[in-house]
Amino acid sequence: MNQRHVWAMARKEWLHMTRDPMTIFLLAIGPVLMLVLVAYSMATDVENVPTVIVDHDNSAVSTALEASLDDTVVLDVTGHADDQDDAESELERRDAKVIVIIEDGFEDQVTSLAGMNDMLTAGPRLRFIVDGTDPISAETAMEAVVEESERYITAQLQQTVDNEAENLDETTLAMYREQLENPVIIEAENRYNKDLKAVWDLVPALIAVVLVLPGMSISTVIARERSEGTLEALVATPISKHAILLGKTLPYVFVAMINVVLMYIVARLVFGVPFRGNLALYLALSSLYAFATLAVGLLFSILIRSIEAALWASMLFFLFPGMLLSGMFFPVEVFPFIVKLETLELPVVSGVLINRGMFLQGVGVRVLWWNILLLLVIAIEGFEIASRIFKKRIA
Amino acid sequence: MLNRILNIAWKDLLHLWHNRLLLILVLFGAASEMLLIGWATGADVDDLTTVIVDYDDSTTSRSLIAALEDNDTFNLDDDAADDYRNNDDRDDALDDLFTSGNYVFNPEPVMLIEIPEGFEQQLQAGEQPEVLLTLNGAKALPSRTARRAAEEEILTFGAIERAKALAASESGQDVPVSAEQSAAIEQIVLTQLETTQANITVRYNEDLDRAHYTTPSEAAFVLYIMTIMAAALLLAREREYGTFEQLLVMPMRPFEIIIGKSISAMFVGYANFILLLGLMNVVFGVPVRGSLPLLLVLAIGYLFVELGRGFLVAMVTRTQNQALLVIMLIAFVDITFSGYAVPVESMPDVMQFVANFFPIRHWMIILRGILQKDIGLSVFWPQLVWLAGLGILINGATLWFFRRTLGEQR
Amino acid sequence: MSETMIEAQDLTRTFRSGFRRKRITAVENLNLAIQPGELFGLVGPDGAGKTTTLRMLAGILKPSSGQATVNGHDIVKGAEDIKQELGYMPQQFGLYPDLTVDENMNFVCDVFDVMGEERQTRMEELLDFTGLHDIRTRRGRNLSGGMQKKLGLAAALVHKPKLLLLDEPSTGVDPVARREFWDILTTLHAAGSTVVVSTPYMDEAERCNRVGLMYGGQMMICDSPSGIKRMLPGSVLALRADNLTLAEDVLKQVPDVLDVQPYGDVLNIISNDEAGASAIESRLTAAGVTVDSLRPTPPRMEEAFIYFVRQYASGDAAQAAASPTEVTA
Repeated sequence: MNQRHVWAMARKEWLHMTRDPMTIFLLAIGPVLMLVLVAYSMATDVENVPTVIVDHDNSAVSTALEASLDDTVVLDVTGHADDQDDAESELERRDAKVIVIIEDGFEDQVTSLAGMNDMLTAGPRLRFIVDGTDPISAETAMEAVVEESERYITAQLQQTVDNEAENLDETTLAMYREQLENPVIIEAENRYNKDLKAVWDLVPALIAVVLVLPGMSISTVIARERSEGTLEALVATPISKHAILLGKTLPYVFVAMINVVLMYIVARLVFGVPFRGNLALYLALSSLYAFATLAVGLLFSILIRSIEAALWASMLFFLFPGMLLSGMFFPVEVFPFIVKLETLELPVVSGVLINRGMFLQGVGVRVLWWNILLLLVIAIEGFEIASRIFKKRIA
Repeated sequence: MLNRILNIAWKDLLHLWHNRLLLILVLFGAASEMLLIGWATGADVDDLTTVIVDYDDSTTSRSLIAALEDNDTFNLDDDAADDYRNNDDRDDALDDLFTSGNYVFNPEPVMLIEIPEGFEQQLQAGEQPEVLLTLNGAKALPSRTARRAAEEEILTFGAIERAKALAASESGQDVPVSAEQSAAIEQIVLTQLETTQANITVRYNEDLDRAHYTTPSEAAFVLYIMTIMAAALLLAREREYGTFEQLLVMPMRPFEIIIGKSISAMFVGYANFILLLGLMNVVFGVPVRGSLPLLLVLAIGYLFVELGRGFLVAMVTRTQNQALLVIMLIAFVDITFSGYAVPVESMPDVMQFVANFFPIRHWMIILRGILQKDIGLSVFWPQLVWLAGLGILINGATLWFFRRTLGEQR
Repeated sequence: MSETMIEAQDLTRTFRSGFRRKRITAVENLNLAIQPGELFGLVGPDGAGKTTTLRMLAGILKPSSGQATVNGHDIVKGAEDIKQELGYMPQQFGLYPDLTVDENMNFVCDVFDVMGEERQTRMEELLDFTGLHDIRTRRGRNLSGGMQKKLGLAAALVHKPKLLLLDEPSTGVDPVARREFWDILTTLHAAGSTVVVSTPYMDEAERCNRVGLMYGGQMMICDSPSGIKRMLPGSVLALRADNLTLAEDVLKQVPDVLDVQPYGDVLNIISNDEAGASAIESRLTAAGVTVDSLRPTPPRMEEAFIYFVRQYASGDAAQAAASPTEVTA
């Protein structure tokens, strides 16, 4: 392969790109813009879930419970309803996602020993209804409402027991106290992301995901030369097909790397995501990832003759699996095994793992070798197949 | 006029028919894609690799491990536990632990559970032993699920063991108590735990099936992309190849061209919608509780709004490639505002407001409402008003751009 | 250099096209030999197979059967070797519309390894030669059709190719530019280059030293322009009359008239020598046509071409006689 030819091709492709201000703008700034917008919107945990209270108890205790539920990060008490039917219609209108029904007699259950006994045998006079449409936020909301009400009830009961302490003999008192405490204390500690900040989780993954843009863009380069009629003249020259393909890829790698650097800066400065790995290695692996993505795009470009079909195919390959199967939203390790095998051909999966690993865990080649190998295989194979299929002919 | 509109539509459909690869991609690409994605993302989050280090090594701690092993959420990795114990530097050992493996064959651990020395003794003495969970924060979602399941399992286990210990000390027996007795105690404790918990009812998606949430999202997303792509590319193609000029010199009015072009894009979009709806219902068991005819009618309206957006993209770009890049960019925003990963209600206020300007936001509410909640116009009319408003705004802008282009070219 | 530059034997190329994948023969059993230094014209109506032939010779299209060598290289196995020594100019503008004249030229120089000082002098030379010097910074898409063709030619010449293959270089170009373009080709020919040029125009065919007439994928006749004209049987008479439409109808009934071709206000009649001008004139007058003049005229390529195509079409196709519009369609 003639190195000069590669550069000539790359220079020409670069000129095409820069001649078209809109394309270069979309390619260079688009991913960063997306990163900021999507990360800003999505990097919130399930919070402020609208909660409606049906209070049949109407007591100081029920008001206090309501206040402590409202105080949680997850729940947000947005209103009251007279009865369950009323509340459920709010559930229908999405004005509420959680309904807390406090039955009459709840106050008595937490302020007297007799009530406490009643609660232990007949259950608390407290019910929850949760909108299950979105299971993940429903689970979070359920957890929050259960945990918070249990915490509140336990605190109340502890006070009640303390108040009654003088009237009880020691064993009974101990028994009551024991009822109120957990048999085991569970300490939990989050490594790599101490406060489980969603933005730390999302941003590194997004950096990999938005890099599909150059990949999609390259999927039309050959089809474009074909439709403009320039391919005919190009294949009649002595330039080798490897030089054509590599020359076409290089400017896109360059653009992708501009993106990586910009996004790295945004991730660090704007979103405060820590970077614990080796920066030089990160840049090297990012360009490998870009290369692999572009190799797949190039393959589409050669396999599919019309611009339109190439665009559709790359949309189907890059956008949907690229976003939804990338591991950004949903963990790849729990996919069915066959889907996991399927994801081996998606460079974005390895891209996400490398990004998360290097940002949060600070890992290096020793850990990432498997993903590096995958990307290398995709890049080399994609390029090889592309150049084998690409004929310096017109039909 | 109708004749001319149908002419344009026919030309586009013919173009589709002649490009068979395109036809297959356009009609079945989305459906096959949704099958794969729905299958993958509807899966339960379970079989999470978990490492348990048992410093107590007692009968009780071993039965706790057995209880955790029985739980579908966990998949215990014993080798990693040994490696961890053999390394004196805890920090180093944790790094080794959480970074070993690959996601396909042996996924990295998401959680480490450390059972302290004296666990059995403390538990039986009512002294609250401290179990330490260390979570792999680089895997936020699975580690959160693992933690939730582990806490529940350990607390239940603890309550049962405490009750057994109490029963034993009352009757002066040795721990362990007899098998029948222990089974009875277990039963009592479980019942009691259940009664003391407040009653929770889950509505609309009673089993909290993930697929019921993700597949409508994915279907809406796929559908919208198909439509907007079809619309944008139809027009962008004409512009790029210069055939647009020829269309313009023909005796047709702008909106005739737009409507003519819409028909084939509508055809693509609607065919996909029916296909995806069928898939959702049959394969993923998503119910259709509301009125199906209403949904089918509203889908046409929604598609028109998205079509307008597709044309708008085509009007502001010059080539198909640019059109695609713009679509990609808005697709990222759209998936954000469809509430797929994070509910819109949890987003910053500004973003919640901005979300209103994305048709998919309203469509998701309508779609989910009809599919899962059996609600009708009386409930989601505000969404319809929004959609209608956006439709008028977007299509108006398209027509305006169209007229301007006409002016330029004539 | 005495070796044959292009030699083709039974060159055939078929395509599958349309929705039903019908097989279409674009070029059929083509035999051709072109010597170094020739200015060879490949002439024929649209769809005759000219472009397919040139593409095969350029090594960018595989023949379905048959073989050919270009400058001693096989067009399949030696395709890449051919490309080193070849200047090829496709029918469409083959350069990049968003790049300037200079950028396009530089890219082509890079590809053909024309470097350093050689590139500078070569580019100056070619831009002067083609008259593109003053518009070096203009983008490809802003060039007129003629300038685009000249740029295409300049790009095909940067590496001093031994062989130039030009596919309809003058289509879509105004007459003045066409004339200039052909002057350039003649200069190249005079300098000893081998040039193969395809064209649908007969006046251009006359400027070649040898012409191959293609029709329906086959080479009908291959000879020098004068040779081809000599092959035209009989003589050509030019008729001026008041009612040409009527005259044409009448003449078609005359057995000795081989062909009648209208040109504006003149009707060219190709007739057997036995049917003299006087006999024809009397037939016309008898039918009520007032003859202004009827005199012999030297045959042009145009008459020869149309005559041969009609002969070929009527002998080849099942239909008795193909009309000229069908031939060009």
